[in-house]
Amino acid sequence: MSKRLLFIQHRPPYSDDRATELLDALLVAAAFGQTVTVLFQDDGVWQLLREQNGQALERKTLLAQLQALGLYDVERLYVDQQSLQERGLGSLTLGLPATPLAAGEIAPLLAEHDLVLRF
Amino acid sequence: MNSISTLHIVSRQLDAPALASLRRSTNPGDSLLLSCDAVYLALRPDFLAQAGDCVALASDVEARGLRALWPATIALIDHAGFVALCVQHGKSLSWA
Repeated sequence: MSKRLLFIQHRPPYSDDRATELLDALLVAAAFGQTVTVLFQDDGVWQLLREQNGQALERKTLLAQLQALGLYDVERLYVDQQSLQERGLGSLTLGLPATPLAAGEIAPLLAEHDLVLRF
Repeated sequence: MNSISTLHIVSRQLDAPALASLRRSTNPGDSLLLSCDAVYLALRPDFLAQAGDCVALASDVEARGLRALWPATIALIDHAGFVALCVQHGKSLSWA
């Protein structure tokens, strides 16, 4: 039976492998037919900057991988507006079409999911 | 007595208390190098206001997509520049 899973990306993209590992986990869940939502929050919003170039660090570019989410039927992408504003990114054009959520919309998003994964 | 300058190497984001420690530990003539996730500090007004003699590793800025937002006051250097800074200062201190 399909469950509604919310994955919270809260780590910056290139400090270690943890942002990539969360992405791998959510892709596996999506491939196995689960309903997957992604929320970018806290330092996870740095993953949304355009013009990332992982090659400068001999890494894959995380944004390019995130842009493939649609191929896995992961269509619901959200970003915590406050996390953007805290980092001076409030008015920036992002590299993904993530819907901004106001402070009062975060808890309801969690409430509508069967499981929340944040690691 | 001769004073020996320090290269402060910051490789992670610092919260306000850690930033204050860094400032208390910095002498005139010291330099500050931002690497890894510390490059995000350059976008923070509270950091920029007192950044002093500060540079950052270009590869870390480039990878994270920060070039378009980068402040003109913080020069970007490559790894050869990093080595040159290490040589220029008598010692280095890692804020990891």
